[in-house]
Amino acid sequence: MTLVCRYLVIPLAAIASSGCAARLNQFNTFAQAGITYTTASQTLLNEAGHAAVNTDSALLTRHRDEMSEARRRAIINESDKKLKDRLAVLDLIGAHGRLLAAYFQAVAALSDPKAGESVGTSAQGLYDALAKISPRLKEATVGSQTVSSFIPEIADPVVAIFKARALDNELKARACLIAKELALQQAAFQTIAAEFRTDAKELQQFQEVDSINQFVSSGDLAPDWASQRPALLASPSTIASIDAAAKAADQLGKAWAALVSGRLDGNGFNLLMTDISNLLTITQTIQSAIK
Amino acid sequence: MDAASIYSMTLAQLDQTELAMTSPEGDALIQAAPPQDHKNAVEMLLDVHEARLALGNASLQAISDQLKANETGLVAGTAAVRAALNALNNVAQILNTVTTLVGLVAQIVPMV
Repeated sequence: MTLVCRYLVIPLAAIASSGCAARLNQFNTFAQAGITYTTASQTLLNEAGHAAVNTDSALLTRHRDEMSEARRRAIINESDKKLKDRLAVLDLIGAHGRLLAAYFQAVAALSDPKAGESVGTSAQGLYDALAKISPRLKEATVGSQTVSSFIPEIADPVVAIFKARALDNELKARACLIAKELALQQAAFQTIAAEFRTDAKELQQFQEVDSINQFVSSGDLAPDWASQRPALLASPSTIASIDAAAKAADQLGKAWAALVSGRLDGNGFNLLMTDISNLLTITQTIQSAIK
Repeated sequence: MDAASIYSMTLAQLDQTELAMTSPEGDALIQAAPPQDHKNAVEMLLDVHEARLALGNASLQAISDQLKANETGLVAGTAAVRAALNALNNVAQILNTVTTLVGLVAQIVPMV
């Protein structure tokens, strides 16, 4: 009887498993992309904080001689307070990003194709133990194959169905929340991008002005004056990085909406992976520059 | 127009103003201005800079508050997914336990 049930279950489970496996793969790819996004965006948050402080320092020191002591004290205190607030709010966004990463990590762990493999191994172990007691079970076949050879195939679809259902339940419960979360991440990075872009450009302008003043003055030019000019006249490389974070958050949000509505296709995944990998490359470049 | 859009538009204007005033052209104009105009321009630049910092903070704080409001749901979701993974691992643990038990029975009961 058991053999008949298994025989009937195998094709049904096999049909169900192909759909489940595809769904699990989608979840897994999305979760991996989410983890990469949240990790990479932490570097950009740090850089945005540094750029804000550096620009403020450069602006205040350039005009320090033109201020009275009272004005200097007032403005440095005002700047320090605002910069502390800026760093604190960037930290909050970073901490929240880490929570989002923890969520994606949990989803990735559950949708990992290898997760639950031990269920198949254990089922095989159970069969082996039973076969010791009952030689008839060991000899039993379904078609031309032994019962033993079907066990991992049976266990895998069961595991896949369980995982797909658990993840679908999660989608039903929190699809809107995650969509909102990703939209907020995008909005945060758009604001951070605008400020980071201004800070980076302003720092470069200060250097350009110094370079011009050095050329205009009658004194000798610094030995590296000419070699520094190309970098001063080109767009700062960091500007591209912050746009990449907002773009990746946008693509992640679109992929999430498609995943939830069951219409995420290969093209959607490719777009997502391109943006995430672009973000990752840029943050790795920044990290190398910092080292 | 909502508050976020007004913040965003004003911030963009402040960004442009600060960049224009610190550009080589803007700097040249400020340096060449009569003393009082020069002093006023520097004060204006510093005021724009402080306003930009304040408005940027306000924009980010508003987003951060909304992110904070989602936190409970996000933590609950993480716990739910982990619980599902644990349940899956428990199936394997149960099967392992049964396997061990069956192995013990096999040693006690004579083989059929």
